[in-house]
Amino acid sequence: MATGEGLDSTAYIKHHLQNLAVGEGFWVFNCDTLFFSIALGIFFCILFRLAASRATAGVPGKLQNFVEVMVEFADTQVKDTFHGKRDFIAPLALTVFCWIFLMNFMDLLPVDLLPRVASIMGLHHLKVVPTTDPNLTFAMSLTVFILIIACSFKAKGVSGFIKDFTCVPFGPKLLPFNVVLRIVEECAKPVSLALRLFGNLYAGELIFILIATLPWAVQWPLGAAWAIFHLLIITLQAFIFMMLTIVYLSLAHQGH
Amino acid sequence: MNLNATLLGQMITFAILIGFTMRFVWPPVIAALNARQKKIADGIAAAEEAEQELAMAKQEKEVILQGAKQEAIAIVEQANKKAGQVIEEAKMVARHEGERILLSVKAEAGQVYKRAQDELKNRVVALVLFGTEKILGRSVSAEGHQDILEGLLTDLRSSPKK
Repeated sequence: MATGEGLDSTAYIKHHLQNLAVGEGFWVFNCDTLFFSIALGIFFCILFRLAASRATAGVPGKLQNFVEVMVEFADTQVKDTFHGKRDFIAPLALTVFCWIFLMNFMDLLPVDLLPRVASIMGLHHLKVVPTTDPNLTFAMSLTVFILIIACSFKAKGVSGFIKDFTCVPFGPKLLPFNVVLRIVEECAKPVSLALRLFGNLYAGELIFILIATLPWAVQWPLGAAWAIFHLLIITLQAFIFMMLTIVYLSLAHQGH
Repeated sequence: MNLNATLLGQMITFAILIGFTMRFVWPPVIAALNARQKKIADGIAAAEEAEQELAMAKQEKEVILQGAKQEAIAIVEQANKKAGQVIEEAKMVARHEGERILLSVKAEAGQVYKRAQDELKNRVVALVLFGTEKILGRSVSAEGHQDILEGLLTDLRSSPKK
């Protein structure tokens, strides 16, 4: 509990919601977000690569089994929604799900554990959960947005893409309306993707911090209950992000 | 909510992660999964084939068994018939042999009988001659020769075979 050290609870909460930022103006880097997301990404890569490089058609080990379950899960989701070559979208879905899940999982660590360790090492701010940083969620959703546009181009060609953007849904006579509507529709995709994940995890983190400001006798039952419920949320949010990515890409692939 | 350069860094990280998964994680795992699927499918197909083969072998066995049974019955029948024939033949041979032996014995007996008869005749003649000599040596009277004749007769009767 950091509240005992002369900080009132507002300051405590504010302190916990501050990134470890380096830089000026736009060129600020949230080092904690970058560090944890990259570390978890590397963890994911090493774990899955380890299983993949040793993958055999024979009796699988426990790690291979787990990785296969994840791969088949992603593959099945993509297969059900997306009709076409899955060489790109299925690995994308797997990456999205696993990475977001791992980053969300950081939320279940005690809120003061890593920040305290960091403060001993001389770092004053540390946000442990990268998905509570809109920079990360927007980075992912914008990447998906770029992929949507690329996929759309690839599936329909330049003329098809322009036609799709100007003549749908009301026909060529109402071209301006179509364009405005389509711009709103397309832009809503990355914004909703990013804000949904950010909002859920930010709120979850905030509740953990609020619980941490309560007296210790009520902390642990509330913390436990919220953590158990949060297990569902972090999985669900990872799943939703993955599903929507697949759906958006399959829409772009098929056209209207 | 403040967007900053972290966004760019995260986009690069995300792109690298996707690329890594696509290049190094996805293909081996999917290949292993497909290979295992094929292996299992092959195994099931082989098991089904073996089952069919077993059923066919069972049928074949049944047919062979049936054939063998019939053959055995035929062989036993044939053997019985042959045995009957052999016995019949043996009986016939034995009967012929017996008849032949009987005939030869009869012939021999006839010969012996004849020989004995001849000898007897000779003896009788000799005896008659002997008696006659004796009678002629004494006198020729019936009463006087009566006892000699009677003696001859008893001689004949007592030793007919010698």
